[in-house]
Amino acid sequence: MTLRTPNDDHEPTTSEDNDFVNWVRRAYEPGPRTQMKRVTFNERLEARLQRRLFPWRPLGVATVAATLILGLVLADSFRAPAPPLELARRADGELLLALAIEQSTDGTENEMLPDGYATLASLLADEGR
Amino acid sequence: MGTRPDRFRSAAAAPAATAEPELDRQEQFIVFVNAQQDRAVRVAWRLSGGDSAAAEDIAQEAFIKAWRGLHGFRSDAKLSTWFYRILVNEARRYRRWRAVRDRWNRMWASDVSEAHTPTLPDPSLQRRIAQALDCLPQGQREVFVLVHLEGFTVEQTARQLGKADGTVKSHLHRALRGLRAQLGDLHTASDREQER
Repeated sequence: MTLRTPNDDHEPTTSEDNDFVNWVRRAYEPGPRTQMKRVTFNERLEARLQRRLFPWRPLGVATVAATLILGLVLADSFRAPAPPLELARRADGELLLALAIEQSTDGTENEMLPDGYATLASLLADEGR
Repeated sequence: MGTRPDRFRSAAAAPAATAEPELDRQEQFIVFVNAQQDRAVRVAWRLSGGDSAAAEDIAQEAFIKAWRGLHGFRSDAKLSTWFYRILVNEARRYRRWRAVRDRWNRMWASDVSEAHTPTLPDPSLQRRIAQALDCLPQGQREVFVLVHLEGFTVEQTARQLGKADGTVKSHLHRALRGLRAQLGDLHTASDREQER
């Protein structure tokens, strides 16, 4: 291979320069690249390009994770007042049950009814007489 | 994006980077990667001082940066000119990093092994040439590698490096003188051996 002097207006090289450059070129050359190296290079490039082409992927995963965590936290915070509510519901149910049982078992229903109702009931009873 | 490896493989079979004008830029780039990969690694190897692993990394990084900047690439410029400019910049970056690393190693280690070990054909000769190239100023080294060793024209090299043609020629002349002064004895000795 001869020394390239593409633009002839630059300083012409002597044959000694030519020899020297050719000698450097031959000596200072990497070993041949194997097909395996090319494949590895392409695979690595491919993997890196994928990461570059979808830079929002890690961001998306982080957002989803943050949303899930926030959702769980919020769910917990909503679940916190739930026990008193459940107790109140359970208390209402138990009261109704107690009323039903008491009505059927003994005659103390007037004690369980509101005061107004008892007054009204006694008035109606008086009129009936 | 699972199709990209297939695109790389099919692109490898394409005859030349500029042969099919209907290919979009990305397709062209993939063809370009396959066509230029070996040369890019070789240029990186020569600019990095004969470090094979570094050469692969430099070429890899240059292709990544080129891909990333593909949308900003002006089609009036030649893709290879643009790419090799990126590659040269990556090689410079690597050399700066290596200089810092070597300095650090010298500070903390008394026995510093060679940071990079040139490979075949003659490791000791390659090391001498790499050292001689290291002694040249950056501009001269790059111009010598690109024009004399890689066969780029003065005009191409000037565009790749963003320099005037005259500057490139001047660097070439000085680089040649400098290297002959440093390696002339080796060259003469090898000539004598060949004559025998």
